[in-house]
This record gives sequence, structure tokens and C-alpha cells, in this order.
Amino acid sequence: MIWVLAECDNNGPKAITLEALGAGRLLADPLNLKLCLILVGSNTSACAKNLMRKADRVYSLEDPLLFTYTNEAYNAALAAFLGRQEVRALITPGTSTGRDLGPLLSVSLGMPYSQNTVGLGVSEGAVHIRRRLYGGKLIETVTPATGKGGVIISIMPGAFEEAKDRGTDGEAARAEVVEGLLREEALRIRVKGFAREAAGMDLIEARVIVAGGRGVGSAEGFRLLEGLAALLGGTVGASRSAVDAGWMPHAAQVGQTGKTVAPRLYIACGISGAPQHLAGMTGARHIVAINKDPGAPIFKVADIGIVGDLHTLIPMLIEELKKTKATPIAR
Amino acid sequence: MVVCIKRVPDTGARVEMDGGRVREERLEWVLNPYDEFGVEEALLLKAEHGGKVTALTARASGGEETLRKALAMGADEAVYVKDALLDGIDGHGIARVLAKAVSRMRIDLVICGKQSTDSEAGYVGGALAALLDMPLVSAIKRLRITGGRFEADREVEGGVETVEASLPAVLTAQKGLNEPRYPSLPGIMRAKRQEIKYLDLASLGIGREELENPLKRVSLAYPSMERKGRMLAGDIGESAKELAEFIRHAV
Repeated sequence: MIWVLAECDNNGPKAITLEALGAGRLLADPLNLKLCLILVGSNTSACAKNLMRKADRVYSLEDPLLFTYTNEAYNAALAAFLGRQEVRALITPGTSTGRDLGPLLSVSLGMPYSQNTVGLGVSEGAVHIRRRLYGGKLIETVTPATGKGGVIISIMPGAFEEAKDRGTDGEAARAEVVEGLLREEALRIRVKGFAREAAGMDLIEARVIVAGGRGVGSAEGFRLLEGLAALLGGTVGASRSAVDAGWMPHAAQVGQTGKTVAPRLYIACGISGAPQHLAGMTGARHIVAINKDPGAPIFKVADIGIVGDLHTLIPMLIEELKKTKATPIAR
Repeated sequence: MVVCIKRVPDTGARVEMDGGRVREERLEWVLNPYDEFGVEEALLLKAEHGGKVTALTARASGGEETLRKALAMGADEAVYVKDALLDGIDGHGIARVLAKAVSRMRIDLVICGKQSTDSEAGYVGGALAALLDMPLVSAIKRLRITGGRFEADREVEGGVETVEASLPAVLTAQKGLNEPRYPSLPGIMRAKRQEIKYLDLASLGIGREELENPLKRVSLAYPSMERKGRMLAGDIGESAKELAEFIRHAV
């Protein structure tokens, strides 16, 4: 079977869960295997409901100690459950949670782990995994050496099409957490709290990213970008030089030493396009580049490039967009 | 404290291939930036709580420079698992080798970079924790140790999570954890004279068959990043109009 690990928040499944299901289909259908989704938590029903039509089977692995994610409890529960299942592949989201948990599961389940996956396919019955190396400077295709042995595949956000609804609901199934497996006193890691960062910092889930670089000129310059991002229902990102200059926090950094993003629309403002930065954003569906320098490398990867001063252009662009104000694209 | 480090091509470098392999001889190598945060954090902890900082690397060749950088920054000791059999071995095998090496030391803390900038797998830290049966706290941006426990801030989507766990543990360093120091000149001179402790697979009791890469390479290729973009370089008002139109369709 092909397994997909779901990730949900208070609003239901995250987009990456739908993408992971889409990725899973690329293996399940040609291999003629069932696509099974697994939800982990203390009450997964709200999230499960929206996903029933996208998988053949939906498992809920529930326990009060799985209410808050810790890699320790999730790894123990998932390894115990999946260890008794037939697993040809387990697809995990390339989020902070998925990337935290994946290597632990790899050791617990004795399966190899592949990161930053951007493509999946089946060739002569073998699973082929396409993944990024060197921040996207190279693409490597790998296949499990053991043939049919299982593999854990962590997917890049935005790299796969979201799964479509099937005609019928998948089968709902309960996955029992073995009695006594999780004991609060035995857990070594405890979550003490969560502090939300300034609004709109979730670059991974963003559909629109307006990113700024050295050309933005100052921390105040980013207010202009925030205005554009807000209008488009998006969020603001930054290049390394803008972060190093102290204009934006590191959480907003896009690139090889920041985040890798793949939004529907990426607007690069005053970013020259160093390889370091390109590594983090060339997966975007549409790329807009605004830069004063017509020779800036960012234009090579852009669908549309504007040679000009962003401080003049963006206010005009905002005015134009307001004229036929499209509904903000909330996810 | 053990800090696991590796060398990576400079992130500004062009990575070229030759016959399905990366041409390594022309690359400029640096200490993996995330590992550098790890070394710095260990040095800060040492300044506050005492103890010893050991830098550890495992590879077939070329590890000395990386270890000397850690020594120059202030690490007390450098251990190099050097073995020709490690050539081409990926993170799955390296994690096993490092786990064997670490399990022979008396340690309170293992620090790794969150990921390397070449494979970007972020695998070794987590796998080490599982192999050593220690708690894992990944992508940390703040650390405070009190007694046998510690508190750390992890970067997660949309915010920062604070977790508490017991020692010994494996931590992986995220950018923002600290500002790595530049090695001082006396530090660099001292590091040149310091002895590196060498280990090989036989001395760790690891056979080649245990390290076989579980994922085989089928191919290696350059991605196609370039797009045939339209350039608007004329009147900026017209550009703004056209761009607005493009954005409306794109979203």
C-alpha cells in the first residue's frame, strides 16, 4: 500500500496534505496499490471528513497523548502501527513537522528516507524518486536498492498537484494505538508553548509571496511589499541580503539557507537572483521579477520581468490591482 | 558535547557534473553553515557550563580542513572517522557510523546542523537520535540548559515552538541560533598543531555491507530553471498595467 501522512491545522488539512495525496496517486495507480491516508492526533474526525474522497482508505490514529505533536510520541505510535502494515511507500509532508519526524521513522521502520522530492513515477515496477540536490542546482533520480522494500518520501511543498476528489468516499478505518505504548511519564520531550510570529509568516503554505531584496533599501521599504501582499492575500518573503541587513527576520528568508517555497505566484522585488536565492523559489508556478538592473539573473527565471524602480512601480501596481479588485486568494 | 560536522561546496559555487557524478575536484569547500551554528553553540555552552567540545566528521577524504576550522573556532578535540569505504556513502550510512563513534564517548549533548547545504536531507541529526535512543529537538533557534534538562525554541511554520527535554539529547541547529565567531589568528595557529584523532570502520566494528546505500542513483541532471519571460522595460505606467493583468490571471 501507499501511505500518506496527513498534516492538519485548525482549518482542516493543510495544502501539503492534498499535494501528498496527489503524489501518492502517482505511485498507487500504476502499482495497483491502495492509497491510504493516515491522520494522527487526539481528534482527527474534522480533518478526515474533507479528505474521504481523496484516498482509498483513511486511518485515524488517535490518543490523548497525540494531541500536541512531539516527534517522540508520533514516531512511537506511527512506527508501531505501520510496522504491522504492508508499506511500499510512505509520503510525508516537507514541513517542519514532516522533516522532524521522517528520519526518526526511517530508523524505526528500517526504511530509507528521501528528501526534497519533486517528482515520482514507476518504471518497470520500481518506484522512481526525483529530488533536488545542492539547493536545486541538480536533480537526482533514485530508486530503492531493495526493489519492493518500503521507502519514506518527503515531498517539497508545491511540487505536486493536489489530489482530485474520487467519485466515492474512501473507507474509514481506525488504527489502534497499542495499549500502554504511550505513557506520559515515559515521554522525554514536552511542548511548553507556541508563539505565533508576526502575521502571515507561513511562507510554505502561502499562495502568493511578495519577496524583497537589497533593492528594497530599508525595513520601511518592506511596508510597501506588505501592502501588495495583503492585497493579493499573500505573505512577504526576503532574500538573504535583506535578512542580513536586519530588514526582515530569518523566518522570512527564501533561499538555500532559508526556506524553499513554491507558491502560485512569486513576485521578486529588488532581488538580483543569486544562485542561493534561486534555489529557494524557482519552483513557483508564476514568477514576476522587478529590478532596476536589466542584467539581473532573476530575469532569467521570471515569466514576466519589469525593468524599473520598485518604489515607483509597486504603488502604481497596487492602484491598478485595486481598480478591478480581485477577491483576495485566501486558502 | 559532540558536534557532528561535514564539508559542503560553498553555496555560491557552481556545481558541475561529469558522467553522472558531481565534479568535486573543482569545488570550493566550506564547513556546512548549519554545522557552524552547532560548533558556535557548543562553544557558548562550554563558556557557560564548562565541559569539552569534540568535533566529529566521517568521510573518505578531505575532512581535515573542516575539523581544523572547528578547532580554530575553539573546539577542544577533533575526531575523524576516515575510511576509503565511506566514499559515496549517503546519510543513512554516515548516521550509523557517527552513532557508533558517539556511543563510545561519554556525552551530554550531540549537536548537528539542521541539514547540510548539499544534500539538504536533514537526515543525520534525526537518525542519530533514533540510533542512540536520545530525544531529538530539531531546527532550534534558542537553547537554555539547566541541570539535566534543557529548553529550546524550534522554528515551525508560522511561529516558534518551545520544548523541554532531558539530557542527553540530539539537537539540530537552525540559522538564528547564534552568530558564529571568526577563528582568531592564534586559534588558527593552534588548530594547525592540534592532533586529529583518526578512527576507521574496522575499529568501530562496522562492515561495508552495513553501509550499502539503500537508495540507488538512477540519474543526475541539471534542472531546467530558465523560463522564456517577457521583459517590460518601457513606460512604467504601462508596465504596471500589464503586470496587474498578468497577476490577475496568475492567481
